[in-house]
Amino acid sequence: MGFRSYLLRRAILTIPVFIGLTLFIFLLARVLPGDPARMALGPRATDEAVAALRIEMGLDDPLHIQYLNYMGGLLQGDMGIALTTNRNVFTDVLAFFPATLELVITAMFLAVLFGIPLGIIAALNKDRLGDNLSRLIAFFGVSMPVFWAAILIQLAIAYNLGLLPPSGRIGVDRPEWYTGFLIIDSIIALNFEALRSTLAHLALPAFALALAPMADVARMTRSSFIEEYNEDYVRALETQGLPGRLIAYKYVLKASFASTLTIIGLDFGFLIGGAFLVEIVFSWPGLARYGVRAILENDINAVMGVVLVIGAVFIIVNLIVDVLYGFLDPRVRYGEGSSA
Amino acid sequence: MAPILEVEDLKVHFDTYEGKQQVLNGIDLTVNEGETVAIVGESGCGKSVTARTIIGTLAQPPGEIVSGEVRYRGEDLLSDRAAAQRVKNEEMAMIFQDPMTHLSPVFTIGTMMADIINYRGKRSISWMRMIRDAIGRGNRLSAADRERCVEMFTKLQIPDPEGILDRYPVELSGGMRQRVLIAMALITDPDFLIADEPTTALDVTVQSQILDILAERIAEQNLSVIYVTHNLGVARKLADRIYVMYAGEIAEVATTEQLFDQPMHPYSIGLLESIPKLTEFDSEGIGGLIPNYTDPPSGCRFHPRCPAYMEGTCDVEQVPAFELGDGRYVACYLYEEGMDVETAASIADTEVEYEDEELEQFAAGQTGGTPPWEEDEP
Ligand SMILES: Nc1ncnc2c1ncn2[C@@H]1O[C@H](COP(=O)(O)OP(=O)(O)O)[C@@H](O)[C@H]1O
Ligand code: SF4
Ligand SMILES: [Mg+2]
Repeated sequence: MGFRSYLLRRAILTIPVFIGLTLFIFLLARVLPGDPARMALGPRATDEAVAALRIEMGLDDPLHIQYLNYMGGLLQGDMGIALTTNRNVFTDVLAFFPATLELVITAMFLAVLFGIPLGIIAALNKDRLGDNLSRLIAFFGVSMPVFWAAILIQLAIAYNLGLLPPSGRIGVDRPEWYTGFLIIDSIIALNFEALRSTLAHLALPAFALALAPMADVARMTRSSFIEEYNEDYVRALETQGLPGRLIAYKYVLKASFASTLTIIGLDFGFLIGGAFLVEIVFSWPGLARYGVRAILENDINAVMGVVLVIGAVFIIVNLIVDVLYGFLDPRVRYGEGSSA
Repeated sequence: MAPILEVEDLKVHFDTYEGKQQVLNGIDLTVNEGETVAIVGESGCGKSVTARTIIGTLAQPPGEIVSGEVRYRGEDLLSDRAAAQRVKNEEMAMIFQDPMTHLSPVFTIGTMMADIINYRGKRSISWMRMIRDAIGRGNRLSAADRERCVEMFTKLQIPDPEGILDRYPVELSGGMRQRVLIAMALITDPDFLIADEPTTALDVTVQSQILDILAERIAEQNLSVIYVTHNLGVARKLADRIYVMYAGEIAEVATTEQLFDQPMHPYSIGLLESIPKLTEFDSEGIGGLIPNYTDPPSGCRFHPRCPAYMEGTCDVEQVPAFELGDGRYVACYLYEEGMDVETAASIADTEVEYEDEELEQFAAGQTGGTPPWEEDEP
């Protein structure tokens, strides 16, 4: 099977997963205790007013009609009004989510950027100094709770040394809103002052968030690199006379990267969870603060919106990982599975 | 003829859960310039281990080269790592036994051919070049090289020789992959070829075609060859000389003619006499009797199966190789150093008698049933 039909098949497969996600969120919201109409109106509203609002909100309709209405709204970008902001949740998500995504993607980028070389160094120096050092780093990375790492880093580098700002997203006027990603927006606006400030603000939270996945990526790269290196075809390549560097960094690395990708995909979901904690430590104006407030105030529409976005990101990341996987390893495309 | 490869007293052990497996027990082997030497023996007798040790791809651990020398054009490859590297990268080539695991799964045949043609024998490669290759500029096969590949594929009877360059190994059958591996070995124009059962994965008709092609290439490129096989018929077709191997030891060394004319070692005799029985076994045969290498039989390792076994002689000390009058070597106490061929032949005739079912075991050993330690590998 060619790559294109694999891509298409894999993309179509995500549709039922999306529907499942919305169904799950919808049902969850309906079985949670508390009457959304009562919550919206507050404890002092009359029962009549609540009943009227219930009808207006469609809460007395049969469940499947309610679900269809909910889906219909979603397709038009309508997630209902958030009590806390009094805006459509969709608008809120658009406003807050780019900050979170920028943080998470930067963290992932750092994790891969450092994790893979660390893993390769460890693999090529198996059981020697380089390996032990990188395993030690990895060990700290995975064993430190993310909020703890965040607080330590903030204390040491921002407060004690004063090298980088301790909180917020940007220290100057923010550039005009194109994407909501400040890095991209300041580049579009050619505003390098803003770019510098953005990167400075991003550095510490992204680094704190990157520690654990970096360790994961390094460990996975190490073990799959070593495993791949012991495969028969590597012996064949040696007798075919290819330079060692070509064998290691072309053949072995590409084959072993497939398993690293899996870890990256899994960690991405984990990162969004971690981002909630890091955002609070660094006062990062992202979806986490919005979500936490929504949960505390029982703002059901906002909670549904946040959960939906996180679920959707998870699905999309998984799709990307699978597609890359198929791109890297033809065995996946042919359904033979991978030895990794 | 000058020797190009001399293996002397090679001992290789394996560390496994069951203990130390003493597999190769002092192998002596010589290949002369331009000569094709066959190593013949049942599955599990250590042919692949010998081949891998010579070319330097023995996995260590679990393997351990306990003693011995492997001299290629006079240089000992076991002690001189630089020489070993050079010889492996530039002068020798190997066709591996299992085509399913010996091709990189994540690159196309064309990419691999291009790398082999462009980078074989290069000590190093710059990062710049690798990056350029990776983003797809450079390191394409030149038109001439492409032509060479296609020509080689055509000779090896690969259908669609042009299209196969864009295929991944997963898209190819075992037989096709095996031919690709053969092409990869031959395209480099090696001086020395090690072929480890290169036709086992192919069906019988294709097998003999490929053998013809190999024979032709060997003659044409004046290759020195070690050809490993469990099949005496194949050895007869290709080899100038044959090393009969049993349980990690060389039982007999003779020219192909001498061996088929009159095998001397009881094991050789068993192998030859079992040939008519071969047709009774399909290719999924039950495999031969694999000796236990953790606690191998004392003295002559063949003695538990030998019809001419002499108690008190054969099971005491390792048998030295006796040179007979016609220049062949036999590691068997039935013979003596310098014994003339007639005497030796009459001993072979009178002393070595096999039962029918014993011959069937030999036949089974030659059908190449998968030995158990290879079966459970993924
Ligand atoms: N990777 C390995 N690990 C442990 N033992 C091995 C390994 N490879 C080979 N051996 C041992 O060496 C013996 C001979 O193997 P091999 O050379 O592959 O036989 P063949 O003559 O069929 O090619 C086997 O019986 C096994 O005991
Ligand atoms: S006669 Fe003795 S030495 Fe010769 S093969 Fe038989 S057991 Fe071995
Ligand atoms: Mg073998």
